[in-house]
Order: sequence, then structure tokens, then C-alpha cells
Amino acid sequence: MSSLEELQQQLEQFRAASQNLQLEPLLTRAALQRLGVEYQTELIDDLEQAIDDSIGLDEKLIFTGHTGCGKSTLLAELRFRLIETGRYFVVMFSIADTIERSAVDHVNILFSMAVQMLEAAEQQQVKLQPGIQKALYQWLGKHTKTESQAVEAEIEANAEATVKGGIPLLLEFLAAIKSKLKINSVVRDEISVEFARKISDLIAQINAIQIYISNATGQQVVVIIDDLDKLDLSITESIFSKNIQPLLDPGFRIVYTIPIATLREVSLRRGIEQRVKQIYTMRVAKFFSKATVRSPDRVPDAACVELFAEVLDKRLPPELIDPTIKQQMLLKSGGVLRELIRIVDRCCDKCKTDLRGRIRRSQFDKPPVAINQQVLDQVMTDLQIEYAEPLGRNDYKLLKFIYDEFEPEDAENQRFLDLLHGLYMLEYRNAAQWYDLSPIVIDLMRQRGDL
Amino acid sequence: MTSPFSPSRTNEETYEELISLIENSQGRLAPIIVACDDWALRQRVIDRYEAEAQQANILPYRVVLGREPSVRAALAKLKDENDYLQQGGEAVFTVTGAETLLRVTLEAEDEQSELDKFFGYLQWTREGLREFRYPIVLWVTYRILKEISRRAPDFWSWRKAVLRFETETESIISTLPATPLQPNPIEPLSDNFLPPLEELQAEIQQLESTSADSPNLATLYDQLGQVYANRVRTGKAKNLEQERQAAIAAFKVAIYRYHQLDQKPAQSAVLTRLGNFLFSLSRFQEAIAPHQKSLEIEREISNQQGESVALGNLGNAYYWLGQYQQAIEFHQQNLKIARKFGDRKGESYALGNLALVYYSLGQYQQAIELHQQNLEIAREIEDQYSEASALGNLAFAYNFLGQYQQAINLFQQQLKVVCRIGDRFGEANALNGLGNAYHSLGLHQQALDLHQQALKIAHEIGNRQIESHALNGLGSAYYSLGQYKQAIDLYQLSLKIKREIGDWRGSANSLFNQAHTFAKLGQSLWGLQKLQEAKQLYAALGLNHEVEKCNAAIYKFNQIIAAEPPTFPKLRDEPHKSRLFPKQASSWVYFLIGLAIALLIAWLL
Repeated sequence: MSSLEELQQQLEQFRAASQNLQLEPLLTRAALQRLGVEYQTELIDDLEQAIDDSIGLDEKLIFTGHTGCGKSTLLAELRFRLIETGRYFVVMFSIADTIERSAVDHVNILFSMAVQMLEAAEQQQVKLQPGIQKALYQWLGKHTKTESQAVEAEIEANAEATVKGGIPLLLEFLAAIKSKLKINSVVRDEISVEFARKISDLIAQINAIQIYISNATGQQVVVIIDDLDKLDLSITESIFSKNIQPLLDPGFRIVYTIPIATLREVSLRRGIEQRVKQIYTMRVAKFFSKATVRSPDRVPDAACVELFAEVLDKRLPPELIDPTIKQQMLLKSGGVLRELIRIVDRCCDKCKTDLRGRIRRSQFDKPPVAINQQVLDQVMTDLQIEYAEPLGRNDYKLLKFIYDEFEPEDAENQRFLDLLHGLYMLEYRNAAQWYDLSPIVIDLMRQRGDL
Repeated sequence: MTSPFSPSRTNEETYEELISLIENSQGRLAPIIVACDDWALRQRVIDRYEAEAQQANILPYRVVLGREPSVRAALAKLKDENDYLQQGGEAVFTVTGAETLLRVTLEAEDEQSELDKFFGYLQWTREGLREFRYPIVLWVTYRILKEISRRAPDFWSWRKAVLRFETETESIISTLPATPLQPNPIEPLSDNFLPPLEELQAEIQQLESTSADSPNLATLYDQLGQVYANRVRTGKAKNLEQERQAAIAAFKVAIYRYHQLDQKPAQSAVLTRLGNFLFSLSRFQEAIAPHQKSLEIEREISNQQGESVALGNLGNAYYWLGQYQQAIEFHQQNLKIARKFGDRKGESYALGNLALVYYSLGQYQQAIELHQQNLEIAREIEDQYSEASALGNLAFAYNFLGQYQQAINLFQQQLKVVCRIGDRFGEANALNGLGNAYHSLGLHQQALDLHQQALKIAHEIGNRQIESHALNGLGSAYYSLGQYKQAIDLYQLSLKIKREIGDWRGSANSLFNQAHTFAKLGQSLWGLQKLQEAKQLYAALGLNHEVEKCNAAIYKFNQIIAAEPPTFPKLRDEPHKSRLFPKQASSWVYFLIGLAIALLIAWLL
């Protein structure tokens, strides 16, 4: 028997859990410590090594993986590792934070790099020579039509001093510029037009910024740009096929994330492979091998299950979930971490709704609320409907083909790439690459009778 | 010849004041400062009061200020040479020539201009003039009038009167060919905000001491080159020659390093900067190699935009070297690429540059058409540099075709734009252009002023091309004001520079102008020699219509020579330096005598 207090207590528990079920990546040390698990650490090792050992000091790394598989969290972990060595000045930012999604092009990616580098330098109190710093801020101001006189005066005034956390006026200025890049299409267009003709000037300026920071800190600059994979495929295609060279030209290490679908296009992939040493892929967790995935008595990989269970346990107290459905829930994610979190989060929402209902109607005689089969089924149905919305008859044909053959008929077919980008199917790897549908899509199609 | 004197009502009243002062100031020192910008009017006024004064037994005397512009010295000399004055006879002195004193120094190293000296001398005048108990009518321009009170306050403080005449005379069209200006169409100054020199040098030093092989040094040296180049261009360089060398050296280091690093786009960019810098120093021949290299690289990496830039730069260099066909080819290739890629800015540059070449070849209608297309595009894409350039070039074409008012309007528009964007180079160009246009309208004083302004800027930014054009314009102005000796000297100065920078067409123009000036001085044989030189240059450049003009002039000169005895006065900085002619002066003389005789015979036959 539950009482009002008990119900409220339960509600509190679910609320607290929800806090930990946000879909955002873990970007702070605190978050990583609290919720992070040791996941694909060899990949972090590889990336760290690639940066450490690169001879040229200007190695470009291409990092890819399905959206939601944990890339940003991994990059954040990488960032902390690099910082801890004391040898690197790491500038990490998400392109989604800096530029309006539909307006991204190679020019404003590079321009954002400049802004972000200066912001990081200011935040970390890197002491640039005042004349140089003034010239850089003037340059920024001019190209974004932002008044820079107050900032220049401030730089002069603070030539000798160091302000903890950075000089507020400068940080405001940079924030204003970032905001313009995000929302002001006129400014963005002008930058694109201005520099498209002389992109090497922009690159020279970025190089200069990097040199000054490097000289002042004694560290090597590494830039990590995340979320390029969140852009529309057509945009990333345009950037990485026609305009990839300028992105590879700056004279320091940069890590770019690109969508996995972009690499399906052979010519594009070749173009990238020719120019960078290696493409680093973060794989989704593979619960089943290709050989066993369709068999009715398949057994999931224990290590994977344990890992996902760990992720789950860190965020959700065990008393809130029926242990018998746990594994089911894990498998429904298809190996994509964010999808697992999404499922759990939705289940929590359902429980909270239920609890509120009970509190309001003073229904104290029901068994305690927990995530059970019923709840899970409801959530899965909802998700199926969501997935089904944009699909047409041809899509189902395409999906069925993949289900049967573990590969598409045409790997460069635009619809296939879009669906891959949208997580309708996932890419796995044994000795070779293969594809399978997301468990949600499989359930959906079974419902429809396609499978 | 003067026309009947019929001033406006105010001028007539002013005249009444003037004549009254002259008559009533006998026996006391009376500096009367008269401002007038209208020469014809001035002449009429002077003639009139001198005539009236004479009727009242007041003798008129005239002083024209020359190279040493001391009023006191000139007046003292007059007094020494005249018993009448020594005995205290009544007189009136008219001092002119202040208006043609140069405000700028001719050589960048001179400390004082002629006008500076004039004001200086005025300050010392009172003591010296205590014995001068006469009215002295000092004619100045309105501009000088404004400055006298400030620059010669002592003199100003005991002036007797200040009178002002309004301009009345209508413009007349000059017959001397104005030198067409060929504005510089290169890419505008980079607007990258460059770091201060010392800080940049500190960064370089630090990097070199920590990792001398760092690829980043290439970037820093590139910046260093840009900083020096910018200082030179904007007139901020402390030691012009040194910083020029430093810029070139820095660029070369960057180019070498990028080459080592096999970073082709960056290497090409620095090559272009080096080429542009050399171009801005008027070292056209030297500019070709880096631009050519850049073109090769851009073709190697299949970057058509970069290719387009290189083509345009090469076209400009060849244009300035007078190799017009080459220039046309490069510009046309450039135009094609720009249109193919919808690069409006590139298209605008290519059109403008092509137009200039056609203009030089005498194909004026074509040039105007292209300039207009260019202007439209420049306004469409709101490119102020190109707009200014197009306006100026269009103005020149109209000026040449005799549509002077149109030309002036366009030049004034151009001036507005260049001042707005702070382009010193463009400003100097516009000033020279306006000067030429005013010259064509017979407004020689204004032309003088404008060319002097241009010369000043040219010295500041170290641009010899503009300097040579300004000097040439000054020469033409003096020619029209009847000051032939001065004109010849200025043409000679202009010629010297043009030869140094390899501007052959400009040299030919200056020679042509000099020839006519010699004729005015009665030295047609010298004139003929100059014409021959000019003709040779025009012929070498393949400019047949100019060759024709020379032939016509030669024919005229021969007729004059036949009628007058030959004279060979000395000239400063003589054609011994010319590449085309031998060194010895004496062989010159014999050659010319022989030529004269031959021509005489030819004419007789």
C-alpha cells in the first residue's frame, strides 16, 4: 500500500533520475565522473596517439560515427586527457553552437575557428601582446560589423594585468560575434563572399592566431570541431567534397567530426582518405554478430550488455526498474547509447505521468510504479510511430532489402544515406561492414507484416 | 590681349578702393594685399590702374616672384637700379607670381617649398622695407590670403588693406594635349588588420629561438612582409628604402619556406603579395616573375580563382611595360574565367583593365564601353575601390574626347569615393585627373593646386608613378601660364622618373610636351630632338596614332626651324641618360646641325 508521501517520494526519485537522463553528451569533468563509463577507450587512445605522434604538427583527424553513439562524450574525454598532459591548448566547440545549421560552409567554419580560438585564449588568460591582440579583435570586429573601439581600449588598459577568467568586455565582444554568426545571415553571407575569393588569407590569419597562442603558452594548439555530423547531408557533402582542402590547410591539428553517411559516398571518401592519414570510426556497440543476429535463440554479447547496463545503472536507481525487462530495453537501443537513454527517459516520463495521476486522484492502493513491460511496450510503440512517419513505400522496400541482405542495393543511393543518417539502420563491422535495421524499425515492420 | 574691362559691380567698387589707395599712399609704406583667382581679370585690373596711375605721374613697376621668392629682395633690387626711385619719385609696385609658387617640394628631401620660403621672407620684410614709402600691391590667391595671417603674422599685422576680386572670366580650352593618366588597377590594399612591427618581430624571435624549423615561421614572415609593405604604402615607414627591402626580403623568406613545406596555396598567396608590392613600387618588370610563378602554381592545383587573380596581375604588369597585346591576352583570359564562375568582382577587374589597354591603343569608344560595364558591376557589388577606379578611368576617357564637364563630374565623384575609403593612392590619382581636366578647361591655377596636392601624397606613399604624373601635370600648367622654363624643368623631372620606372609611354608623352615648350622658348631644334625621341618610343610601343601626331608636329617644327637660326642652350639633367642616344654632347651638336641642314635641304626640294 502506498501513501501520499510515498507516491511523492517516488515521483521525486523519477524526477532525479530524469536529470541524469538528458540526451546531451557529457562534456564536463563532473558529468564524466558521475555518469561516464569506460567505453571504447582504445579509440581515445588511438586518437590521443595520433595527435601526440603526428610528425607534422598539423595532422588533421577525421572522426565519424553514428549520431548518438557517444562521440561528443568521447571527444570531451579526449580533450581532458590532452589538457592533462600539459602539452596542448585545446579548443573544442560544436559547430551547432556557432553557426545556424542551414548556413554552414567551409568559410564560416574557418571563421568560427578563429573566434573560438580567441575566446578560449581569453578565457584561459593567455597573454597575447597587446598590439597583436588589438589587431585581431579589430579584424574580427570589421568582418562581423561589430564595434571594437571599446574592446581595443580595454586591451590597452589591461596590457600588464591578467584578469581571472578573462576580461569581461572582451568575452562579451566575442559572445556578441558568436551570436551574430549564429543568427545574422547578412553578416554570415558577407564573410562567405569576402573570404571565398581569398581563403588563403583567412587561413593565414587563423595560423597567425594559433602561432601567437602557441608562443604565449608554450603549448601546441589542437582544435576539435564537433557536430558537423548533425548537419544536413547535402551541406556536409558540399563542404567535404568541393571545399575540403581549405579545411585541411591550417597549420595545426584539427579533429573534424563528419557523418557516417558522408563516407558512404565513394568519391567523397576517397577524396578525404587521400588527404588525411586515417579516418577514425566510432562503432555502435554490437550486441550480435551478423551470423547470429537473425537466429531466434541468439545470445547477446555479454560485455556489451554489461557496459550498457552500467550506463543505465549510473543514471537510474535499480528500484525504479523491473530487472527482468532490463536486457530487453538495452537491446532495443540497437547499440546506440543515446537511443538507450532516450528509451529510458521516455519510460521515466510515463512513470511520472502515472504517479501524478495517482497523486491527483488519491489512488493509494496500487502497486508501486516502476518501469515494467507495459511501460516499455508503450514507449516502443510511440517510437515506432515516430520512426514510421517519414517513410514511404519505397523506403520499406529498401529497408526490407537490407534486412534480408545486410547491405543496401546501392550504397550511394541518397535515400539510403538519409535513412542511415537518421538511424533507421546502423552500420556494424565484423571483418567486413554490414548493416542492420534499428530494432525499432524491425518491430515496426513486423507490425506491418513486411517482415 | 585683354578685352574691354567691365567688372561686376562689386569688383568695380573694389577697383575704386584700390586706385584710391594707390593715389593716396604715396610717401608711406602701404602693403596692399589683393586676392584674385582670375588671371585674366587680374591682368585687366593691373593694366587699368597702371594706366591711371601714370596719368597721375605715379610710375608703375612690376615684380614677378621667381624661384627665390623674396618680396623685399626683389623690391630692393628695383630701387637700386632706378635713380628715379632713389630720388623719391612717386610709384606703385605690383608684385605677382606668388600664385605659381609650388607648395610642395619637388624632391622629397627638400625641406622648404617655394611657398614656404615666400612666407618666410615676408616675415622679415618690415625692417627691410622701412625705406620703401610706396604702395605695394601684392597679388595673391584666396588660398594664400587665408594663410598669410597665420604664416606671416608680422607682415599681416601692418597691412594697409585687403581687397578681394571675384572671378569673372569664362574658361578657354587649352590646346596642349593633356597627358592621359593611367590609373593603377591593382587589387586594393589588404584590409587585414596587421600587428605592430615590434610585437611581430618579438613573436618571430621567440619562435625562432624555440623551434627554428617550425612551419609556423612561414606564416609569420608573410605577415612581416605585409606589415612592412603596408607601412611603405601608407607613408608610415621611417626609412622608406630600408623598409621596402625588408618587405621584399620577408616575403621571399616566406615563399621559400612554404615551398619547402610544399604548401602550394600559401606559397602562391605570398608570391601574389610580393608581386603586388613590387608593382606598387612601379617595379613592373620585377613584378612579373612572382606573378608568373603564382599562375603556374594555381594551374597546378587547379584553382581557377587563384588563376584569375594571377592573370589579372600579369596583364597589369605587361600593360605598364607597354606590352599591350600581351596585356590584352591575359586580361581576356581572366575575363573568361571570371564570367564562367560568376565572379562579379573578378569580372569587374578584368573589364576595367581591358578598357585601359584599349584606351592606350587609342580605341576610346571601346574603352568607354568597357569602363561603363565595369562601373555598373562595381556599384552592383558595392565594391568601392573598383567604383573609384572605373569613375576615374571613365573621366579620363571623356576628358580626352573633349567632354570636360562630364570628366570633372566623374573625377569629383571619384574623389568622394576614395576619400571615403581612405585610399591615398586613389586620392592622388583622382587629384591628378581633376588637375588634367581643369587644365583642359583652362583653369590652370586650379590645375596647379590639384597637381601639387597629388605630388604631396605621392611623396608620402612613395609612389613614383603618381609623382611623375603630378610633375607632368605641373609642367603643363606652367606651360599654359607662360612659364616655359619652369615647365621644361618639371617635364624633365617627370621624364627622369618615368625612365627609371620603365614607363615608356609616359616618357614619350613628357618628351612630346617638352618639345612644344622648347618651341615656345624659341628653341625649336631642341624641340625637334625631343619629338624624334618621342616618336621612336611611340613607334616601339606600336602606337601608330601617336606616331602620326609626332610626324605632324615634326613637320611644323621643320618649317619653324627653316625660318629661325638654331640655338642650343644648356639644360639640366640632359638626355645623356637616355638609353637610346649616345653619350657625348659634342657629337650631339654635330648630329643636330647635320640634321637641320638635311631637313632644310629636304624642305627646299
